[in-house]
Amino acid sequence: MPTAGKGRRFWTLYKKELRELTPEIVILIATSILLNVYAYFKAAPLTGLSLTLTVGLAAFLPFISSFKLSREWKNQTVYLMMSLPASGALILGAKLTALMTELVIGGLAAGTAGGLAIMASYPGEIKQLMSMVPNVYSNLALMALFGLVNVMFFCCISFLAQVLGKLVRKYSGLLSFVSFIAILILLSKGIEMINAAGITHFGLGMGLNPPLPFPDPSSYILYSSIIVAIVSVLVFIAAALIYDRRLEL
Amino acid sequence: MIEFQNVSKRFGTVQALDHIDLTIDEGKIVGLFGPNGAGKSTMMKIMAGVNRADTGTVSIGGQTPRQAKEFVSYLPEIDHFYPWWTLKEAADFLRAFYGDWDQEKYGHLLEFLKLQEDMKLGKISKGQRAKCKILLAVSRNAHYLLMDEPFSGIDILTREEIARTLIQDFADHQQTMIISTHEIGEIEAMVDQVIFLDQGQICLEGEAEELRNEWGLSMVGIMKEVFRHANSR
Repeated sequence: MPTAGKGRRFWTLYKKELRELTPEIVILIATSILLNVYAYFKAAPLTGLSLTLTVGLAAFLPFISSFKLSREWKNQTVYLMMSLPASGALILGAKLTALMTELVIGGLAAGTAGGLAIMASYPGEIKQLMSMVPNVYSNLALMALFGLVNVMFFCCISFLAQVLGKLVRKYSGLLSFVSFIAILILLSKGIEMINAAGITHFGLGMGLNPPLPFPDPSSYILYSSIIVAIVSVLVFIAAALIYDRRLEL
Repeated sequence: MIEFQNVSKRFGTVQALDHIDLTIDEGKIVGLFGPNGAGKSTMMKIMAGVNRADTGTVSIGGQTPRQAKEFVSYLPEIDHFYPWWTLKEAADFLRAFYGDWDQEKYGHLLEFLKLQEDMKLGKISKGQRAKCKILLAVSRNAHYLLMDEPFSGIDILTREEIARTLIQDFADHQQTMIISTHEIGEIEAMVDQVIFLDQGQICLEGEAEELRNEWGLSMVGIMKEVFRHANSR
């Protein structure tokens, strides 16, 4: 009897997760359009603020949605998920991919609507600004990557904190909250130290002694994104291992 | 074959299973009987691989329960499907995970149980939800079927319908079905082997026919006797 492949299982889980996130994605797109259109027509000086707000919302929402993992226990759908022949990596991976999809769609909607509103409000100034900044598009892409890995980092910590919380029957929510804060502080300190070492490395690489704090912003952002991505993967693996080996109903 | 060897499980101060030794042969319908809190659901959950034994080992067809998930169809007592799913969406989801999904059987049962694929699982009656759960569990040709209280909260007519469905689609010698319930009357005629469980321990176990002859009672009568003795211990 042929068994379904991992790819098909992942795709099925991903579709389910995305379907659950669809209302939020629709609200995000609608808010981005409405807020930026309103700012353009009624409060042109606030187009920058509306762009910031909607991009911020697009980044914040996947992080909030990541806490829906606990809802599987509350709704008892965890019985279905845990009885499936699917590993924790597959189940959590599908959830994380759906959250990242939400971030990308929301970010694109907010960025496009906000960007158009600003460009329409201040066409001359924006053109002048863009000509002054070198490699504007690659820098924007780099910033988007930086945002993506950082949201992924927060989502992975949220997963780990929630599975840690589910190891106990009483005060599960409290343990999740405390774990989230503790892991976030611990990892942020670690990343800060690695980044500081990186700044020194980049500065010394440029032959500067003492090194400048930001010798090459784009290299630094790329370096920092890679570090955050590696730490996120490690946190994700820890969450998946606990899900597989320690969690039970 | 399903084997429990010295299996114990505790939840806080409650000893859910207490040194269980048990062998269930292939191809049988087994009734797991006992009052509320006897440990029936815990045994089911351990076999389904969603709970772990604290001590002892459980083997399902020579594999650990976690490895055997692909061959086990588990029907928990609670509603475990997403309420926003339609019956078709739930079936499509399960089909992606199990190579033993039988679409023909699914179509036949859908008709037999008078269910519609566009029914939203969160918006139908409890009886219909129970039928949907049964449909989704038995539409697979799984080696092991674990049914935890399939009649819970269901009216008598629907219970009979569900029991008929279970018997009709049970593949003799190819499947092993374990039904946990305290509604013994509904499945008395179905079961080959019975296990009476109380306070996490097996009080009585054996072939249904042999026990009926030995005790000269129906299963319901035997259960009453067994638990009367267990309570007076």
